[in-house]
Formats: sequence, C-alpha cells, structure tokens
Amino acid sequence: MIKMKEITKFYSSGFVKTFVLRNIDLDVKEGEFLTIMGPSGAGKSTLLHILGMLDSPSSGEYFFYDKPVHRLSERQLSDLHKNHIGFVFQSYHLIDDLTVYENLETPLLYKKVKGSERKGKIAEMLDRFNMVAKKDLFPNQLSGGQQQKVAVARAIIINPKLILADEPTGNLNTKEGTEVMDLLKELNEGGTTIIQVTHSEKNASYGRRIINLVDGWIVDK
Amino acid sequence: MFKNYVITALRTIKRHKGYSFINVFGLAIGMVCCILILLWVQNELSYDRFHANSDDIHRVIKQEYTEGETQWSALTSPPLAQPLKEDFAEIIRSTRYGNWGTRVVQYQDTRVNEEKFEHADPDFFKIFSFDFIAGSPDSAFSDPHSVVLTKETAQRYFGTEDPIGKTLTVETIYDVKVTGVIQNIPENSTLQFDFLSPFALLKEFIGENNMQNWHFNSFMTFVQLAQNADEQGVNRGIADYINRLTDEEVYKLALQPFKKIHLSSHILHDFSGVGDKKYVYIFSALALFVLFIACINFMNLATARSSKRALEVGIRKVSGAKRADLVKQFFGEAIFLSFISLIFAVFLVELLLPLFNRLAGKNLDLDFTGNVSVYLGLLAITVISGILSGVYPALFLSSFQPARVLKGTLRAGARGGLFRKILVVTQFSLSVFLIIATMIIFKQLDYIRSIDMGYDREHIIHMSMVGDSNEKYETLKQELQKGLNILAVSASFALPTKNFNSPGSPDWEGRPEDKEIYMNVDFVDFDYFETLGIEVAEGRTFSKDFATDAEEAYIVNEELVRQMGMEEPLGKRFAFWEEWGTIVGVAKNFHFQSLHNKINPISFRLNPSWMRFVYVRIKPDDIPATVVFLRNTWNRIVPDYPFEYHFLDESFEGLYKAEQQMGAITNSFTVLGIFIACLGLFGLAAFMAERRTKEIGIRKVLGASVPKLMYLLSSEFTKWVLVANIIAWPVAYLVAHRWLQNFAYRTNIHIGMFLLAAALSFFIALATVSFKALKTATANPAKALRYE
Repeated sequence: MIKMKEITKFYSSGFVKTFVLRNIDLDVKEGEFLTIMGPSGAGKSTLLHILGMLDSPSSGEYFFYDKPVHRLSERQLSDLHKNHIGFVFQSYHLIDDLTVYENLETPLLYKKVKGSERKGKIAEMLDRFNMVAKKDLFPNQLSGGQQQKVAVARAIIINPKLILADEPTGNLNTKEGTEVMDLLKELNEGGTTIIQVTHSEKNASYGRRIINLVDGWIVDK
Repeated sequence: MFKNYVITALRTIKRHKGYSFINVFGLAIGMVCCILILLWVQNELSYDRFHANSDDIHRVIKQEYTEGETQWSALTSPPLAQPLKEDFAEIIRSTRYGNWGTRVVQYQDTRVNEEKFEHADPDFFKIFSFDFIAGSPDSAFSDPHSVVLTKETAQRYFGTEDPIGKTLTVETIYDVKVTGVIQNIPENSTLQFDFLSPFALLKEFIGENNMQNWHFNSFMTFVQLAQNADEQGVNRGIADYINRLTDEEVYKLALQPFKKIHLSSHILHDFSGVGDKKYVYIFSALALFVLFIACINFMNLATARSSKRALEVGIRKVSGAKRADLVKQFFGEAIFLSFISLIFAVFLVELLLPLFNRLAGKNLDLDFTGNVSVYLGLLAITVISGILSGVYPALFLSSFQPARVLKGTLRAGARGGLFRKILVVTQFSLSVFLIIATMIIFKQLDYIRSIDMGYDREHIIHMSMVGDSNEKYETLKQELQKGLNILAVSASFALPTKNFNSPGSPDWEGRPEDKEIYMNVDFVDFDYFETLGIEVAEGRTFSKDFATDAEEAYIVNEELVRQMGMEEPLGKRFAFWEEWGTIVGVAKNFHFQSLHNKINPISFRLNPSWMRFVYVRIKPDDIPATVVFLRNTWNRIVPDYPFEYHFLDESFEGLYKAEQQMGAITNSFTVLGIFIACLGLFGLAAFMAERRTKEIGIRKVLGASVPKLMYLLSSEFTKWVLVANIIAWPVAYLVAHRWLQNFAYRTNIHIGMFLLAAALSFFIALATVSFKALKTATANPAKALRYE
C-alpha cells in the first residue's frame, strides 16, 4: 500500500539546512497497525504529514497504491487524500464554530456526497459512537475524550483506507485514552490500515509493528 | 455546502462581536458615502435628459475676445433665432430664452417681485418637454400678452381657482393673460422659471430697436436640429452666419449640445446653477476613498485574525477542501458581511439624506420604486466592496499549509505583517490627504472672505428697483439720506459683486485701428464710489459740482487704463456706444466678479434712468430699526413695488456656493474616512496588544514601567503614520495646486497645513492606539503569563 524510498526532509534557514528526516525507507502493507515512536523532535509528525500528503518531502520517492505521490499535482493529491486518508490529531482539531453534526458533515461536503446519503452516514456515525444526543453541541461543550471521538468519527466517515493518528491520546485521561485506542484497534480489525505516532508504550502495544525514529533516522531497536 | 459557509460566517460574526462591529459598521459608513455620492452623481448626470428631444437640442453660443484670448458666451442677440430656422434646413425649430431682470407681478392687491420671469418663443414648448396641465403648447403663446405658469406658481397666486384666463399685471401696466399651466419643473432641469411669457412681450421693456440689434447680446438662443442632422455641418455653417448676414465682422457662432450645459459648459454668462464635471469626479473619488478605507479595515482585521482562522483552514484542507473551495468560502463571507453592511447603510442613508441635501443644496431621495439604477448601484457597491475587502483574506488564508497550521508552527498573525503595514499606511495616507484637502478648501474660502475686494460689503444693504420704480429714485434717495443710521445712499445698474454687463469694446483717443478690449460697464449714481468704499487712484469721482459730468464724464478702472496703454488717462477722450466723453477719474481695481475671474476692464458713467439697485450704507448699530426705517420710507415713496432688501455680504457669499458646498461635503467625508480608519486602527491595536500580551507580561515582570510599555505598543503605529504623511503630502500638494488653479486669486499652500495634518493624524492615531495600549500595559502580568 505504501512504499517510501529514501525520503528526506529538511528546512533551510539562511545557509543552514536542518534535516528532519533522513533517507527513510518504509513499506506499509494494507491492514497493518504501525506505530512510530521516538523522542521529541525526531521527525515523527513530519513523517506522518508526508504520509498524509499534507507535506511534501525534499527528496525521495513515495508510492501510495503504486501511484507516485511525489509526482502528482495538487489536485490529484487532494483527490487521493480526501478519498483514502483520515486524520486524527492530538488536539482533536474540530472546527469551533460548527456543531458535532456539522463537523462530521464537512468532509462529506468536500467529497460532494449527496444530501440524503450524507444524512445517513452522519446518523450511522453518531449512532456508532453513541453521540446522537450530542449532535447539536459545539466542540467546547464536550469533554476531551468526546471531542476526540468526534474527530475519529470525522476521520472514518469517508471510509478511508488509511488512518493517520498523531498522538491521539496525548490530551486525554487514561480512561478516555483507552476508549480511543480500542476504537482504533476495532477499525484496524475491520481492515483499515492505521499508522500512529505516540510516546506511550502502552499505546504502542496496540500496534503490530513499531519503528523508532531518532534525529530523522529510522533505528533498529 | 453553501449552508455550511453561511453558518460558519454567521457564527464567526457572533463570536467576534468587536471585530464584526468594526467591519460591518465601517463598511456601512463607507457605503453610506458611496450611496450618497451615487445619488448626487446620478442627479448631476440626469440634468436635462428628461426632454424628449434632448439629443437634438443645442444652444447657439458666440465667441468673444479678451486681450487676444477667445472666450465663448452663452448670450446672443434677439434677431438671431428666426433667420437661423429659415436659412438652415437642418435647424427645424428655434427659440430665444431670457429675462429682463426681476419683474413685479400683481394679482388683485398683492404684488410680488418675481425673479424667475422668463421669455421665449412659441417653438419653446415644442423643443422642450414641459407637460401642460392646462392650456395647450400650440396656442399658449399666440398672443404676446400671455403667460404660462408652473403649477406651484399658479397655486401661489390663485390657490384652488382655475388660473386659465386670469389676468396678471406685470410692472404695473402690462396685463398678461394666463394661457397655460405646466407641471412643476424638475430640479434636474437647467431651465428654471416660474413664469414664461412670449418673447414678443419683451419688446415693451427693451424697445423695438433692440429687438433687431445684433449687438444686444442679452439672451440665449436654442435650436432643435432634425434627427440625425449633421451637427458638424451645421456648426460650420453658422460659424460666420452673422458676419454674412450683416456684412460686417461681428462675432462667430457655434452650437453647444444642450445636455452638456449642466456639467461641461464653462462659458461666460451661463445659467447660475450649472454644475461642474470636476466636482462629479472629485466627489466620486472621495466616496471611493472612504469605501476603500473601510475595505482596508476588513482586510486588515481579517489577516490579523488569521491565526484564529488558520486552524479552520487546516482542518478543512485535511477534510478534503481544495484551495478554490476556501477562496470561495472567504469571498462569500466578505460579500455576506457587506450585504449586512448594506442594510445598515440604507437605513443610515435614509437618516442622513436630509442633512446631505442641505449640505449639497439638492433634494435627493433614495427612491426604490421603479428606479432600477438605484438597485443596480446598491448591488454594485455591495459586491465591489465585498470583493475588495475579501480578496486578500481569501487568497491569504486559503494559502495556509495544513501541516504547519496544525502543528502550531504558524505564529499568530506573523504572516501578512508587511501587507498589513502597507494597508494601514494606505489608510492613513488617504486620511492625511483628506485632512489637507479639507484644510486647503477652507483656507481658500477663508481667503476669499478676507481678501480686499476693493469695495466694502459690510453694513451695506441693497434694494432692487423693479420696473419704473427707479423714476422715484431721486426722491427715495433724498428721503433715505434723512435717516439717522444712514451714512450714504447711491445706486447703479449692476451689483458690484457680479457685474457681467459687457456691451463691447470702447473707443478712445489714440486707439490703434485693430485694438479691441473686452470691457464691462456700469451705470451709476453720484456717491457710488463713496457709498461702496471704492478708492480712486487718480482724478475724482462723479460730482454735481461739474455740470458736464452727467453728460460726458467717464470713470475707468486701472485695468482698463493698462489695457488701453494710456500714460495720462485724466482728461483723455473716451467713448462706448459712440458716446464720446472725458475720463475724469481712475478707480482702483476692485473685484466686481467672483474671484474665479480676473479683474476685467470696466468703465462707469452716470445715467440715472438705468438704476436698478439702491445701496444704503448703514451704521452697524441697531440694524433692525434701520431696516424698519428703510421699509417705511420705501413704502411711502414707491408704494407700488414690494420692499425687498439684501445685505451685500450675503450676495457676496452666494458667489462661492459651489465651493462652500464642496467644502462642507469634503469635510464630512473626511471626518467619516478618518473615523473608519481609526476604527480599523483600534481593531488592529487591540489585536497587536493581544498578540503581545505574553511579551508585555514578561517585560513587566522584568520591571518595565507602564509609560515604557505604552511607548513600546504605540511606537510602531507612529512610524506608520509618519510614512503615511510622507506619501500623502506630495499628492495632496499636487491636487490642491490644481484645484486652486480654478481661482484667479488663490491662497498659498503653506507648509504649516501639512505639519498640522501630520500632527492631527499622529494625535488621532495615538489616541486610538493608546486606549488599548494602556489597558494591556496595566494588565496583571501574572494573568497574562499563566494563560500562555
């Protein structure tokens, strides 16, 4: 599903190049649950963003379902990612001015899903995540765990093949965190590929494979 | 999707009430200016378009020469109209139009001085479209002793009675019969009259000779060309028409399109109410400036707040939004906001229209019924301001990269800083420009008031002598002089504030064959120069001690002496209208026209039978009692004519009405523009202060004093205002310089005004910013630091 060859990412400020990722080679098969670990500043989030096509590498090749991502236009990238990839962030990133219902609706709108179908999908999600009663609340009226559940629901509402989760439990308490991780596990068991970034050994244990990132290099433990 | 945008927009507005208020309110004020000016411009452009034939109507104008300069005059002579129609196949109709001064009109026992008593030929009603309520345009003028009234005038005289067939007495002796009543004349008509009588009736006042006099250039001539006529051809044909007809070199003629008279005439002796295209441009620019300032606010605040929107942009992009989707969204928001502003603006316009009408001397109204252009105008204003204010935020916000926004590396408002600075500088440049412009307009108006016109206008009352009331002038003068508060009494044919009588070139001893001088003339009574305080440079004024003065004394002004090139003018022979006399005095130059014009040559002569204005110089104390005395005396001596008086300084002010209106309008717009700019600055200052809350907190903990922090927060804005001044100054200088060229006598542009504008802009900016700065600087640092 994913094939990365010699992916490098650096930022130049003045004459100094700061490397974030160096010669990353990575293969991910469909249905995997991969964990990326490493200390702060190791380049975990950058790698995740590149995987999610939100950022582009400075050099190297990236194939997603054999399509050369590094050579696609912005439009093609946008299509690819809005149909196949869902994101979950540490700080949820819901739109403050929209209700739970409207937040869930947003990706469907951009995917130009028809009205009736949209309603059906949102209802299904609300039901699945036990949030029907909360559909008209705004994000700041929800607890962190609830917000993250909405964020997960928003990520999977388009039926993505791949879910990218950046410290999904970082802002949550243990109970909420466990709930969210169980959710991800359940999705993975249903066939969705999941790549998560985390500091937590416990979260990492949900995954089946772990890669370690130190100073932009993949290191074997 | 659309619903999603609207919801987001509405909730954003609600959540940021302060910013939304500044945006909506600022934009609304900008729109108010635009709408008012749009109405004004629409009115100015609509002048005389209501005539069905407006494209084919032309005025015949004639060329005049002044010291080698050619100028055009609106006035032509009475015998011109008829033969034009006969000799040119393409001229299908023609009419003369004009008056012979104020007429006294009597019905039963009431007498009124009527200023708008005009005369025209029967073709008039076929050329121009004035709707008859009663009577018929074909027969209204079949008898010279007839008159057509406007509806308003008819009501004024006859109330609810049927006016047709009623008889009015003009100048106490001529009976005229009302043969028609027309609808009130629209305000956007150049031709304005209360009474219109056949031109033939004028014969009674100016004499049969003058009706045939090619030099009696006191009236206008209008013609209607056949449809699709070759205007250029006719123009060529009539150029030398009079010269061919009279077999002498008289003057050249040309056609002037009627609908162009209101805005682009600029010729001598034109209607007093004509407008000026220049002001259409100036006001339009002004309105756009103010709107632009408001739009800048919008852009500025939107980009300043971008960090708050950035997250949303990131999320939307992650959720699959393409850049185009976001551009659409932000444009939509801006246009939506500008629609809300429009609603406020329309309310404000309705509220402010009476005030604006008073400033502009108009009677405009925001007429929604059936006025398509109003709707289109409003729509255009809304969409334009929406796009203008949305374009930068739309392109800027939509460019955010989700990876960076979501990671939080995008510092609040860090981007777009330069652009924001440019915008604020632009706003303040416009404001400074407007401040300087206003100051210069007022300085010029002030200068006009203070300039030594060469005659006194304080405490001089003038009364009009209508009809044959001047036969009693001598008695009136004697009786008036007996008054306690009366210092001097005299009279003349023309008002000293606006003398446009120009009978042609004079003759004098030693005149070179080909030397012609365009000269004004006035007929005066003894004591004229003394009463008006006009100084004499050489010789003497008219005096009863010299028996010959009445017959042959001339007084000329210095300019005439200069143009004639006379070394020793006193005692020289001089003539106009072939009446030879002697120059007994040279009057110092005085401004007998508005300061738009240079001082022309003028000559004075005694002629008691031509007196039309009586001047009374009065003591400044107890003016009401003096007026009562004047009234009583007038009613005793000339009971047949109504007593009407004016102060000379009022007549003087009337000359600069256009400038005063312009000054008032510019002034209000400047205030509004600056106000909007301040709103924006306030918003921006609030944002900057918010952004630096942590920095201020740290500085405070480290021991910075409140004044130091105030300086820190305000100094950046001060720099911007300085740059704005540097940009605005040269532009303001150039524009002001050009505007002042319209005046023959103008105030100088002084550096002090620029410094004052700078000081003012600094003060305004600082006052605006420091309010927020003080709040931030005095805030509890612990709080600020805890929240970061």
